[in-house]
Amino acid sequence: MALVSEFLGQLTLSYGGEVELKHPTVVPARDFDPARDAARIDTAIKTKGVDEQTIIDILTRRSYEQRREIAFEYERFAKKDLVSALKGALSGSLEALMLGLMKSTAQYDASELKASMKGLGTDEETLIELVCSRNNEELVEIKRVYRDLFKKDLDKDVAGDTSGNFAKLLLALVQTRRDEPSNVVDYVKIDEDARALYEAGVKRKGTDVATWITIMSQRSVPHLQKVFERYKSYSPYDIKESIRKEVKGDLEKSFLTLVECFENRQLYFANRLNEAMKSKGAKEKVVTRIIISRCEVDLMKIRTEFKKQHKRSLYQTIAEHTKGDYQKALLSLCGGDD
Amino acid sequence: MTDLEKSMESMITVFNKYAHDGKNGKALTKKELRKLIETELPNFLKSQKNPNTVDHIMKDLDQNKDDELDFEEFMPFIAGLTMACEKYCSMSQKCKKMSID
Repeated sequence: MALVSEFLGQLTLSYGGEVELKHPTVVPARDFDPARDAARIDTAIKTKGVDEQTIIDILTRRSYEQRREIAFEYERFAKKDLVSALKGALSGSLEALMLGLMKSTAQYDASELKASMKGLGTDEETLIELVCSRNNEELVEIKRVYRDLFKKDLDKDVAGDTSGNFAKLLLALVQTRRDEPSNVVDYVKIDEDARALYEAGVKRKGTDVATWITIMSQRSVPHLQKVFERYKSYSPYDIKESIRKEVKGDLEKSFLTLVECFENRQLYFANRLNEAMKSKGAKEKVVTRIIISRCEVDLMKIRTEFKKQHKRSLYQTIAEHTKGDYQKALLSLCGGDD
Repeated sequence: MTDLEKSMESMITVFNKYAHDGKNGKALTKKELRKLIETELPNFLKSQKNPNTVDHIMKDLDQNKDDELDFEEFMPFIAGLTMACEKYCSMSQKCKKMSID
């Protein structure tokens, strides 16, 4: 039965040995013919005024692996590199989106990280989003690709660009020392950690940020979910309220992002998308980044969370707050209305 | 045989086919497990990013730690995958086809 075969391709075995479902909106196209796609793209680029629609139709409905095959065929046939050709033919947000699609998830994340730290000043919001929402496995891969692409260590660049406790938290996360989830529930440790978090924060004057950083960057996510629950029996404020009370600024944003991602990553992305689109000067970079980096991972689930939380579908919201070819590309990656 | 009887028989047959060789013809060594997954579940293996997937699976399933899987240890794996597929199916539109057949 072809359906079971297809579904099996969507399952991933997580570290804890459980089978997780991926919820992508973009899946490998059936009857894929990379040579034909490459030829059609070539025609679209050469058309007067550039036929953006065809480029969008093809590239947003192929998986990353398939896009790589198209790029390979394109280079063989047009004697030019596809990415450069797209750079020349497209512009603005659409160009940024298409070029993003031609990178692998890890490459894309690595380049976004680099861009957030480039030059004078740092885009802390982006740095926080990327470092705090990617899990251990993803960060390991990102670090590897970062070194390949930029010949520098991600740790060193982050350390060079941030300071204080904010830097310490980001570095702890980037060092990927998080425990693997285990089948054994360590109730003693859960209680110890909950108490330690309370004593380091709400209980005392000031905050022992180092303890918070250690616990939140090294324990496994399932363990932490139980710790935060146990935390409520010690502290009058839950962990998110405690964070807001104890720390401020980028450090606060980072801890909150971490906790939201431990609780429900897809809801975090849904909220971030909503904020970005509704804000003045719709933050297209954020929207582009989330849509591209999650479309082959869990954008379908993000859509569900979006609708539940904001009562409108992601599709409708994109249609309302973006326009032109960029909008068409986003809608295609989004996959459908809910 | 009914459809269900056929499914059950094929699970036993597939297991035996791969367990057949080697010291214990009634159990899968890690090597035989790998061969089984590579041949019978290629789509599943392809989508795993972790190169140690088969090692993880072996460790997880081998309850009595004798470095091989008998049919009883093997079945939960198949059951788990089947249940995950069913869950996926009920979320996906395409499932309508499955229930009509």
